[in-house]
Amino acid sequence: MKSNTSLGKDDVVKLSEGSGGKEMNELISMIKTYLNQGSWMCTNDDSSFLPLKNKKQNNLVFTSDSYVVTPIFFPGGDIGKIAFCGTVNDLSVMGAKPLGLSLSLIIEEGFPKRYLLKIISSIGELSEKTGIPVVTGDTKVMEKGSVDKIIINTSGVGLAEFVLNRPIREGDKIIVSGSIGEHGAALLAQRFDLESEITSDSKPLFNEVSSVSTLIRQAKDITRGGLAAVLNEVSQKEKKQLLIFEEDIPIRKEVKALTEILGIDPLLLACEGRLVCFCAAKNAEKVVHNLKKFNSAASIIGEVHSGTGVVLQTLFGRRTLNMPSGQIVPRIC
Amino acid sequence: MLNYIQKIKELAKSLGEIKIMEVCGGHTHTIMKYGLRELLPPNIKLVSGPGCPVCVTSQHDIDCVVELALEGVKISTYGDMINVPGTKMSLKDAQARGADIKTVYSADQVINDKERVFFAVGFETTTPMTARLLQNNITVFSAHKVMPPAMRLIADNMRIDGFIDPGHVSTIIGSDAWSNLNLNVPQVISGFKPDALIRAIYLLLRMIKNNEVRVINDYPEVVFPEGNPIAKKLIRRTMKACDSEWRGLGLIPKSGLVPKDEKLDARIIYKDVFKKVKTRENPGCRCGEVIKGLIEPNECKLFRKVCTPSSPKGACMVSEYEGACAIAYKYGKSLSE
Amino acid sequence: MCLAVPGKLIRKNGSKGVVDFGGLRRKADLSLLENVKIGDYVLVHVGFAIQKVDEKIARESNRLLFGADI
Repeated sequence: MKSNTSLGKDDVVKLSEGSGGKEMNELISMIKTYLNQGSWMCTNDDSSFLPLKNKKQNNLVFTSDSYVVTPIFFPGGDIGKIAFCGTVNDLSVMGAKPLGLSLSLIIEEGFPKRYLLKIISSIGELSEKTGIPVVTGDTKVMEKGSVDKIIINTSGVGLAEFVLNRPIREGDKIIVSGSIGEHGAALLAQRFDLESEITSDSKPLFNEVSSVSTLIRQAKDITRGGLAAVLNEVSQKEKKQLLIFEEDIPIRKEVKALTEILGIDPLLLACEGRLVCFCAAKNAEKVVHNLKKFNSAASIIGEVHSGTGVVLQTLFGRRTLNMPSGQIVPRIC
Repeated sequence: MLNYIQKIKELAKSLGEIKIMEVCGGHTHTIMKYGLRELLPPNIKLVSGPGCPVCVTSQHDIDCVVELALEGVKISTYGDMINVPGTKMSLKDAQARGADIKTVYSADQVINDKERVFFAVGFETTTPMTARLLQNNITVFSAHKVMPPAMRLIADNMRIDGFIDPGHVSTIIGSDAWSNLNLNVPQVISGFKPDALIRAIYLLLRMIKNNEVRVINDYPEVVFPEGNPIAKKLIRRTMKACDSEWRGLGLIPKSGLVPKDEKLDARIIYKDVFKKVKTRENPGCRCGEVIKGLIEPNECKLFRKVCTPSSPKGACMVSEYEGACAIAYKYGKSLSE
Repeated sequence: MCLAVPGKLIRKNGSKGVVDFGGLRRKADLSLLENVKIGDYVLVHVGFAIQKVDEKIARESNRLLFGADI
């Protein structure tokens, strides 16, 4: 990847670089050298466009998300990686092949340029690796104190032959694509000064979804609110009860340790590169087999029943797994 | 494990309605998280006790610290405390109005911060850390409480057939402290894993059936007869007993701890500030009854409707680890709901 | 109350130590304990080791201390 070693501590983003003149053009062209522009055209204009050739892919899928995270750099990634993966994953789980993303940056005046370029580099690297170009964007610089360091918005378009959103049925199996909670755990470990080897799980999930899309009814990427939130969303939307077997949920030992020390629930920890999917029981083994090629921890964790809510079968009794509420705060007492 | 549940079911057949109190909020958490209540026969009832420091801290104490913070005194305290609603507002509301409040995960984070008043809460387990701060000349507003007098009050005034004693309080005070208290109620000191609690319930039922009244230490790997002598000595050196107001239980003689050195006691230093504090409890809130184990959280009209973890109306909705209402909210409708 | 978790003491410098909890390490104050040495299991509460775990009892009673690591 390109690196810009000439930038020092004092090279910071200035208000003038957001005000539409020469300085702004320079900043933008610096950002652009770090991004992959792929097959789209007219990227120097007000919009970019892409001629469509494949008539079979007749659903246009569109999504948008804004990203803030503290700290902006963390073990296994940074805000740029999350901003890229998050939008790619939102498209992927709907069965779409991502065609391109937009990238809008809202930057606090005084933000070090080397940080900015590190963030842009992460996006550029992922863009190159996945072949998904960043095709348009916007940059605003805000006065010091009016935003916290940097906010990133990415929007994305994709095309899908069919929309991956079939209703789930009783008897369906529920599958996760890997061990959960590592993104949230990596952030919390850093925030609470715990030494650990936990790294964020953030990654694009396009290949995972492609490998199972004909076998499953639907997929959701697990993000904020963790597994608990995504399961509750599906249960509410589909009006079905989801029965989850706690012991079958893959969680790394270090993540378990962190949640015990801080007195929090691993099922509430955020992921940025894991999905949960639903499939007919007869396809379940095949789905797990395909997902294991990407992450050996992929597992069946539960099944769909009639009724409402998410029920967790622990090694002992059963309880409901509610939609998370409030903030995750470590418990001392 | 299943073995013990089977044994519990057998024992329960020959017993009437039995009320067991898990004193510690950490135990309540395990019980709810693993759905243990529903594994028990219907005549064996578990009730939550006063072992959540955030919950039992009196509203007046919250109001005093809020007032102090609004007066411009810098405060530090453990995370959950800032969310407890006071009469006027919570510490978090005060923070939004510019008060300087630092939340800590561990007391040693403020050990050199002499200009801050540490709002200290907790039982015997957490008191040694505050004692360490006092040794370092940190000013403390102490809402520290000790467990045995509260247990005595409950044992003497309520029908409780057995206590699951708080495990980590026992680590500090020792199993002898409970034996010497002579509560006329069977007690088991238990660890925090679900299987440990199931075993504790079995041991209690066995004692109840045999009319045995004693203290069984079923957490001997970290609870010794004498407790932790260094920690006990440290507390004795830096703090002294005082009468203390518990939410729900009222004023209990000799149930609190304040700094021995009056120069470090915020209650004395700022007594003029506290004079103007007027406390009025939220009339709908039934935290007091929840703390005494008289009602389940869902029997309170505010529960889940206006009182939620993101907008708590009472102290029991604050600590998701120990507050009976917050735990019931999180782990849900499994009980009587 | 009182969330406390057992872990293994892996570094020690006077009354300051580092405790490993199943792969996760945290600083801990050891000043409330006597004669604690590297390799001992200790119970940690808000950054302070409050007791040495009696490993013999923990093993005999087949207690799940940390997962099943002890």
